Amino acid sequence: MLTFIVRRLLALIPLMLIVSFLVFSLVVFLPGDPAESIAGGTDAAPEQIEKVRSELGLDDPLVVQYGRWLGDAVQGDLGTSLYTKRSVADEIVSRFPVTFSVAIGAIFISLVLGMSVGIIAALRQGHFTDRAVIFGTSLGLAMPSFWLALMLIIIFSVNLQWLDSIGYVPFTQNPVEWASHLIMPWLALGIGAAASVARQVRGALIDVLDQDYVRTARSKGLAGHKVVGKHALKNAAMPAITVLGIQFAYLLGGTVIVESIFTIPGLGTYVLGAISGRDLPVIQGVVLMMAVIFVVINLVVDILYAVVNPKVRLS
Amino acid sequence: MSLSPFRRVTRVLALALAVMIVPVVGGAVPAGAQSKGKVDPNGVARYGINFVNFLFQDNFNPALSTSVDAEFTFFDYIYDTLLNQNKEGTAVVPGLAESYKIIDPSTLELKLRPGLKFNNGDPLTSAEVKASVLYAQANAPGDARRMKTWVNLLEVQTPDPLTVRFVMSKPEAFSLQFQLTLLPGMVVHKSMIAGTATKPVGAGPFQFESYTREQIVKMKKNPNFYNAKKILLGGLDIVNVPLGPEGLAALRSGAIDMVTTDAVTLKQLTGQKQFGTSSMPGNTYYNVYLRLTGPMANVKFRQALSTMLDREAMDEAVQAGFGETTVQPYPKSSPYYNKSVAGAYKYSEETAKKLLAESGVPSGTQLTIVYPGQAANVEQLRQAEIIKAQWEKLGLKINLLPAPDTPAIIAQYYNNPSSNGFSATTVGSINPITQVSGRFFAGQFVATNQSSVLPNVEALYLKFQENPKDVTPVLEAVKYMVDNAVEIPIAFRNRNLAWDANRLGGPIVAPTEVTDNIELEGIYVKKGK
Repeated sequence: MLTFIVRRLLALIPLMLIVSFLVFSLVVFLPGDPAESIAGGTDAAPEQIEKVRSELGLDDPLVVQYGRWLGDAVQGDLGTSLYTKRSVADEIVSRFPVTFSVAIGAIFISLVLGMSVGIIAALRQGHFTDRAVIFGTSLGLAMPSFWLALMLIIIFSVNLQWLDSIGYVPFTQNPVEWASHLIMPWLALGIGAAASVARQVRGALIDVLDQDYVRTARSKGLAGHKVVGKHALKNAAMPAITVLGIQFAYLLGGTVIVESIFTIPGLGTYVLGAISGRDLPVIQGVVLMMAVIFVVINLVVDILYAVVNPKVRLS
Repeated sequence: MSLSPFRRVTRVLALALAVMIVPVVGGAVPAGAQSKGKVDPNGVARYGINFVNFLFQDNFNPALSTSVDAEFTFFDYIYDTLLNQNKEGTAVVPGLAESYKIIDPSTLELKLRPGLKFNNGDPLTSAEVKASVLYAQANAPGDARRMKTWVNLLEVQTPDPLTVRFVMSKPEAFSLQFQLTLLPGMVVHKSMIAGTATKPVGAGPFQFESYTREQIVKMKKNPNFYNAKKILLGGLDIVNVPLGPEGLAALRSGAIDMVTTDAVTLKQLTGQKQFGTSSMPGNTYYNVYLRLTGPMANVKFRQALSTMLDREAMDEAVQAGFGETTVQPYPKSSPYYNKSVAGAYKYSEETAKKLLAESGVPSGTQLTIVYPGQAANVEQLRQAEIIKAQWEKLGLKINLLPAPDTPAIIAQYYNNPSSNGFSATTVGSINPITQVSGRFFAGQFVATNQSSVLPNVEALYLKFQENPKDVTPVLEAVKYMVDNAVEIPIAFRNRNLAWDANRLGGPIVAPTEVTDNIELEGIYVKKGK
């Protein structure tokens, strides 16, 4: 197992280098001259542009710039925002808990809702409940989170006036208010993910329930919930683990729009503002962090997979 | 009976899903009493704006601002300005100063209102203005993004407690009067200069209470404001809301009382009893910049293009018909509006074709028109597509080139000699010279890069600057620019405001620009709301 983990960790090094280079190359891929933009666009004098270019080292070869940026990044220095002049790393650290709380709540909803609906559908395969679940999950997968967010606002804020459509209260300040401000973002992000999980669980469980060992367990007279809970679900959970891992990374990305809709001061609103103002250090910093999370989650999923299924380790 | 956590969650989700099946449209706002009600002296109005859109940087000191205008909305209520703009945004009116006079081209004199006080009760006299301005000057960096108003300030004279004279090293007195309606016209208290203030201290209608980052700015009425009697609100909250449907939903849900909105939404709300609406044109206008080389060097050709734009239809498509169509850079409410050219370039395909034939520019000529192509910029996209459709009726081939941001615009339009025009908005200014100088004066980036330097126009404006009371040179310059179709103005851009009419009363009017605010005098929260 240790060899497996070490091998996977070593494989991350070239991957992270490629990812970091792509993130850094945003400067090159974007049209126009960043020095001109930073110096004030059409208001900038040529000497100001040159000064900015020299100060930021934009006149060095790309590889030199990348090396310098990577060296700083591995030491936790992601530069400073061009507009606020604050440390990007500090901002990410202060905002990450907010975004994480949005994503983790959504994952919780997707897990609870997705697993339960998936199990019910698998157990009632071919019945009306199963067909309703298939229909409902198709709907869930098709609904974009921003649209769902708007619908939730119309229902719970505008019509029923139960929940606030904007704002955020930190958990440490008031846990109830924190939750009430995050319910709609959690649902907006979590319902789509739940649909995905439900489909995976349903499919996997149907396969497993057809296996000989499940039939054997049943013929031994084990109670239905024990057959499903103890024997079938463990094996059926494997695809769900993979889906959940990927969903978590996607949900972190999905928070960009949802945070903006509900004006939650997390990484999403941070990067959205940076995109509007072409604040490259911020964009690079947040994208790099998201990429690292994505890679790490995939590693964790692989390890979990290996724990559950020894065949993976051997291969 | 207690439910297990699993069943509880399942029930809540089931309820949520069930509610989603309920029709979601209609009956959006709870019925409230329609009676006008009396003024609630403690009533707090909640104004929704998008902090990201305003590039707000969590700074409450105007002297340290990194932008000339973006933070104006936040500061104006705390500090007010030495001079103000009228509601149309076209003229300078008194502010903290009750009058102003251009002594000579380099000297501007202000007379402060007697008895002015900061919100902490300290007097605001010419000495405080001087200290604040010198502080701003010392902190004004050479960076193009920051305010440079005071870079050429030679001296601030304070002959008496109510008189302030700004002596500049260059003939900038004329433009300074307009700058004093913006951030440079805000006076900060000495505690802010010393760095000992725990909260912003200004002399505006409201005083700062608290700020929750990216969420809300809370202010309460400043009893020491010179016009405090006319401020009927007990406080003002500026709340961060997204633009568009989310902002409107916040208004409908009662989370905010006022929000700036797009024209299409405003049209939908107009006439609904629970909402008040206002739409005001500013100095910013939808415009097609022209590179005056190649086919665009031909005046008949430019006139043909200008005639071949149905401005009324374009305004209907872009601003739901709220805008004021135009062929010149000043709106009707401006003292620089030239009536004699108002009827120019009436939409006519026949006339346009005639002008095109006279120009000698062959049919089938290809034009490249750049436009700000950000996905969110629906208005610009719509404008560009209409231009393409209408000009192609003349037999021209129009190549639309989207440019997502300023660097891309510079690369694809200003630094690209093969492009012919830039369909965009011209950011307006209350200063009549700034309204045109960037595009037509020598040494300016835009004018230089699109070959549109017009020495005769610049000379007329310089003549006007020597004697601003006589607007004739500006009217002549406008006539020249319109007659020669050196650009193709389409319509002034409106700013639109919607508010909860059940809760708010008084003379609410939309602001005209980002550098303008909702005038809150006489506006009140109805008692019991």
